[in-house]
Amino acid sequence: MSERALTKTKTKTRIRATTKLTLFSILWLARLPPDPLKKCASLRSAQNETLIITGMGDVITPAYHSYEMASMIPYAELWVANWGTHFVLLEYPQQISEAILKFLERGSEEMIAEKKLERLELEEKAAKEKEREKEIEDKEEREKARRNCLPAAGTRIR
Amino acid sequence: MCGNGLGCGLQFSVPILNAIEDVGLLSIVTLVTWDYRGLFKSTEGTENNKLETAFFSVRDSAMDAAELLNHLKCEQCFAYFGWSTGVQVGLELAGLFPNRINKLVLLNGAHGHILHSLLQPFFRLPFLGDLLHLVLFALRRSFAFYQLAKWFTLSAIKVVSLLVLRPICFISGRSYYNVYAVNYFTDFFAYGQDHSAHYLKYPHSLDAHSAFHLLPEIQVSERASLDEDEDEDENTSHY
Repeated sequence: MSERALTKTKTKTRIRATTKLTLFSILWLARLPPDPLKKCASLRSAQNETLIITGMGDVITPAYHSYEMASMIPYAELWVANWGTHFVLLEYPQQISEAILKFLERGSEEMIAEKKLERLELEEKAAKEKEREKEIEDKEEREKARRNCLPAAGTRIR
Repeated sequence: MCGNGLGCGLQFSVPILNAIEDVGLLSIVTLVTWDYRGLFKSTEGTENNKLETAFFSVRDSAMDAAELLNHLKCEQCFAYFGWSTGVQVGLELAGLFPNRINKLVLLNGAHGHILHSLLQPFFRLPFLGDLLHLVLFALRRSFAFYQLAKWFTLSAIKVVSLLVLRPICFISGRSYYNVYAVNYFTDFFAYGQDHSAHYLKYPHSLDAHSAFHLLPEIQVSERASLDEDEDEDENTSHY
């Protein structure tokens, strides 16, 4: 091979290498938060006690904070809205409330059922008491009406 | 228990609370919120030693939350729900009193150093955090700068709401974005200069705070003592 061809091949390889490097570095810099973190979080989530929610477009408190929290806190669960911002609360109210309700009800179904029953009983009791009070009030009112009809003590009737 | 974002009351969690109310959870559990010190109608601290208590640190607000639970005689609350600033307060509270909280729900939060991580993956300017600190100082200290900022934001929000927010509302089909945004910025200036000065102290303290080293040790209590968990209702907020 001539020297020209050698230099050409050398330059080509160099250009390829540099482009690959730059592309990979750009990808590395602009990469999404890595999935292993999420997997770690999900592995630990057998016994959930914290729920962490973010949006990927969050600029004020970036999403990597929550990824770190989910990976570090024991028994944490992550829920990410891919197009959400710092105001995920307002953007995905239904989905988030479903996730939160699932999370809250998991492991405390018995307690919630008991509380609901207690609340129902209390309401029934309150209703009964109200009825009784109403009856008593009605009686009192009737008596008052009778007294008002009657003349006061000490007055003379002609 | 609900830890709000900085400078807003319960209003931002209203859409979710509505959904929770539909299921009927709010009939069993009662909801507590409080305003952070110096914001809205909350006081800065005790009258005798304002300087000692008026640091507005994250620990202070966590201690306030614990005191609220003490005042309501609640040994363990069913769940802590924190958004934005409330996340850091919740982490601090869980670190300080792990037995007081049964479950943690953290939305859009950070574990510390918020000014240094602001806009971070996308906007890599060196010393951004320090610059923001300086801007906050300027806003807090100089009256003229504050007045200028007030005039600028109050006039700009009208234009922004007309040109930007209303089209977004129209496209997304949610008319409350505009209301929330306008309310947030008008609330900031509506309660006087003291309120906004206190508000501007909070980002400093949130930046100084970090719970990163505590994260692996954060333990929310076990579900053994479920008989006493109840969130109580108290309207310390201004709504």
